[in-house]
Amino acid sequence: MQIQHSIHDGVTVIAPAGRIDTTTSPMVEEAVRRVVDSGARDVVINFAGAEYISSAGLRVFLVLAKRMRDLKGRLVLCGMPEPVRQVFHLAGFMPLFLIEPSQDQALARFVTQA
Amino acid sequence: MSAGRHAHIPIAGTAASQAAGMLDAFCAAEQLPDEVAWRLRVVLDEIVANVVAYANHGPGATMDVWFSRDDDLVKISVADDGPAFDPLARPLPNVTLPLEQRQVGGLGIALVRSLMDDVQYERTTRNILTIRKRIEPGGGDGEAGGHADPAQHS
Repeated sequence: MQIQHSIHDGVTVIAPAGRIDTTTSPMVEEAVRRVVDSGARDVVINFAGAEYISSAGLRVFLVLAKRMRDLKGRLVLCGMPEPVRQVFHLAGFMPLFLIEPSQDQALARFVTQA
Repeated sequence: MSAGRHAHIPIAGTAASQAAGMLDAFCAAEQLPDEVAWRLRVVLDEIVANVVAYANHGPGATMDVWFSRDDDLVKISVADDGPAFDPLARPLPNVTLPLEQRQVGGLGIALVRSLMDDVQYERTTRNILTIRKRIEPGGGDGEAGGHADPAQHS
């Protein structure tokens, strides 16, 4: 599991690569918690490098979505490979998130809504 | 029919990664298509996490995992010695609730049921959960293995 963290025009992008499961989810949770704790309110999660996600990982993003709503922050997910997209779909998570195909399209959301 | 594999795994924090390692070796040996392999990985993660969370276990407790393949049918069984616990009897989570009321409890077993062709719980002196997944002909990322993502990546 590798987690990349970058900032594009004030938008924080977190890109977890590899498997997002029981073993690795605590690392992902810690990474997203740290950026939100440090004040990030415009956040993109780029799943392009993710292999799959299990419910342990879904929990992390559900908690993040609730927190961003409470903080009046903005959260966009992008780059979902088919295994990740299917699990989000089966879990009924699609309507809970703003989801874009690519990171560029995700970042554009912040420009048009600013 | 291939030879099955069996692992005896301590029920501890690293059980999920140990089981995942066994599954990786099984998927590689059987050359399972990616479409089948990722489903098995998600499902085994859910089942093992469930055992770790719910099995009433003391120090030294273990679980058993069996992997086998018979033609186009992959089978995985997980057994633990905890008190009777039928995950299939749990109510499915309501996946239509708004964000504030959404919970992850029960989502794991719901995913197991959705991602596999067959899930079976059996109580002997142990809990035994068995899942089966059929390998579709021409699987992998081809047309037979579900719809390819039409999204273009630039």
